[in-house]
Amino acid sequence: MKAAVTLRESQLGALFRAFIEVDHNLVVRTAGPFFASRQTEVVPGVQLAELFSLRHDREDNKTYSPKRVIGEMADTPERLELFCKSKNIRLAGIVFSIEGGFLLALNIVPEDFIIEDQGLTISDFSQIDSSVPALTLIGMQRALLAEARQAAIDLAKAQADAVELLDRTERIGRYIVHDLTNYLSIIRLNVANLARSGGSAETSRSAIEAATRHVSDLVISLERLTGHRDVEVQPIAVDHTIRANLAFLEASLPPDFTLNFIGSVPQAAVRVGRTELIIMLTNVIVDARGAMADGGAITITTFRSAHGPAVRLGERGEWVVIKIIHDGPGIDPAAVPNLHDPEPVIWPDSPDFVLRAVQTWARAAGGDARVTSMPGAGTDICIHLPICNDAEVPDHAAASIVGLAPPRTGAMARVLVVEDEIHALDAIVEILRMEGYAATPASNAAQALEALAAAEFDILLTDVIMPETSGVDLAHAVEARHPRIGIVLMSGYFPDESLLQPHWRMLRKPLDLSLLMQTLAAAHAAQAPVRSA
Amino acid sequence: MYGMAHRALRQMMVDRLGPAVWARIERETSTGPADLISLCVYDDSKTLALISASATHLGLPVDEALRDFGRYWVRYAELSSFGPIMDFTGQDLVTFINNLDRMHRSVVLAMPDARVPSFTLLDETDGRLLVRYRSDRTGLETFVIGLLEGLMDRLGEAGEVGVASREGNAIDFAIRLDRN
Repeated sequence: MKAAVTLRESQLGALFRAFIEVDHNLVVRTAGPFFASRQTEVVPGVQLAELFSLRHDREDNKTYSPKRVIGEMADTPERLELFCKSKNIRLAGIVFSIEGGFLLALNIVPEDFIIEDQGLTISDFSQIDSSVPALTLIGMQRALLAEARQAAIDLAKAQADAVELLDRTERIGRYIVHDLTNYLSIIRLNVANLARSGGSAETSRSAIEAATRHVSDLVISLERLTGHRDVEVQPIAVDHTIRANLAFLEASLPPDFTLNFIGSVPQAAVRVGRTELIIMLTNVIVDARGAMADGGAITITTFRSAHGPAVRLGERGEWVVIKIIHDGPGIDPAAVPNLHDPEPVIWPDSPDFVLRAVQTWARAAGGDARVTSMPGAGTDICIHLPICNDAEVPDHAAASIVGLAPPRTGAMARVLVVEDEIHALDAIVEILRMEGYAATPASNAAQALEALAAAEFDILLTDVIMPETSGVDLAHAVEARHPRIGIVLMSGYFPDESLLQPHWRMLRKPLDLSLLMQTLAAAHAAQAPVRSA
Repeated sequence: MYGMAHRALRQMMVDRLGPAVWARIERETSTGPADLISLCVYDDSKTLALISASATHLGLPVDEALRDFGRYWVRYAELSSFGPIMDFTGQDLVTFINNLDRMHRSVVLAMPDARVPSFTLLDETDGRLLVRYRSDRTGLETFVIGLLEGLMDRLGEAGEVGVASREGNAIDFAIRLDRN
């Protein structure tokens, strides 16, 4: 059969990328672009049988010589397949008889439809060859499966990391909450102590100073732990908050100091924690006090400003400026540049530590804190905080953080106080003594047991979370030896109830003085029948 | 864009500035693991937000960052599980560009939501190629320049890529090859 149309070689190559023309002896005369684009052995003059083995669609499965087979297949619809002997390549097509030989109209048949390592490209297939989308699709699926496998591994790892992080955060969070409640207890007890006559003012002030320093340290730790503020902080009225806590702030100062407050922003609210604001002001005041050996005046003023701090240059909005001025000698000017350093090394003992803590806090709240030292004349500390609104501020936002204890109720009950935080221990003991209790301090379980061996007590008041022996274990041990003693536990967390005896009393930290007194009174009253028996 | 682009950008930023910076970018753009799944197609605004944040951290204008990312994208795809498909598309620049649309058609078969561009080789003279890029996206001109530069790197070519003309949603890129 003669060809009905004549194809140019380029057209032939477009349709059959791996065509081969051979003579009647099956010697290659020309080859298609698939071979031409590669350094192959399919070149004119080579015997076809040396390069390929042959298969064709016959049902008798007999082996025939290639010459006979190709001759018989010519101009029929039978499918011819050639297998490359040196490479994993298969060609398939049909045979035409042409002048002086045969045209093997062949295309590539990808082995297993996997593109890896076959050395094939899309150009090796004709434009209409459905192998291309099939190959690419399979390649895509394999790639996506590999990606999905990797994504699953990544997600599993992320989940494991998240669980570990949550676990770590929970642990650290518990430590921080424990410490914070301790420090808040210290502050609350000592402020109450200061408000009374008869207590040791210097001891209380030292305790407050240490506690506020630790609290600000913990605030920084929390900032670092969380990386950013996820919790929505409610707006507070600056003037009201400061005014409501002025007594607390004044309690940080000895009698030879005066603290003045001039508030000019009655309606302005900022989005910061109320306790944080007071703790930061306390820190600044206590720090200033340290620099003013002969006493002096500290003035807090507030005012509005349309100009933000330098680090917020260009940011629009209004600002509340809280300015703390004191007439002391002024902080060391050498420390000021360090304060302005964006990423300084901070040491807890460095002179700028407190001011740095204030600055870190103010920046986290979207503002800044700056210090101007005037040696010999004083120091100005300016805290810029962005005004969030001038709307009505909830009443509780301005509430005082100071709570005062009720009148004396002690009646000479003997209380063994066990607390590993030394400032908290001192404060509790002192306030109990002021309330008329005979309070004995112990800073751990071992000391408590020693004290119990040496004297009798009506009540054991113990912290729960302590190193070595917990308050719960101590309470069990004490009750086993002294079954009549009243047990009162205090903690930021309620321990596992199964570990507690139902008649034990529990106080939550930070301690509410009124509740503490009521609880001790109740514990003492419960001893009365025992005592009278 | 599809998630593979986000993963590639993450890898580029981790390579250049470390994992902490990428973590910051994720926070700044509210990006999480669910935005980094290769198979998923995401709104372009998410991709552009990530690139914009990355540009800030790199200290580059967004266009420069896009160009860098285009170059990186080719390397990333080549080394990823998509490498065999890159190989299959072509082993020289002309073949690769000529086959890109066929390859993209298969991508769409596998990922129907993918919006793929079209590349046509308009002219090939010695040392100069003229490539027409068509896309329903805008603003990715420098990304495409980066892609073409990345392809040249991959296929052992050197030269320059520039914009020859723009019309409608088509941009013609001129590639001058140094083949001396």
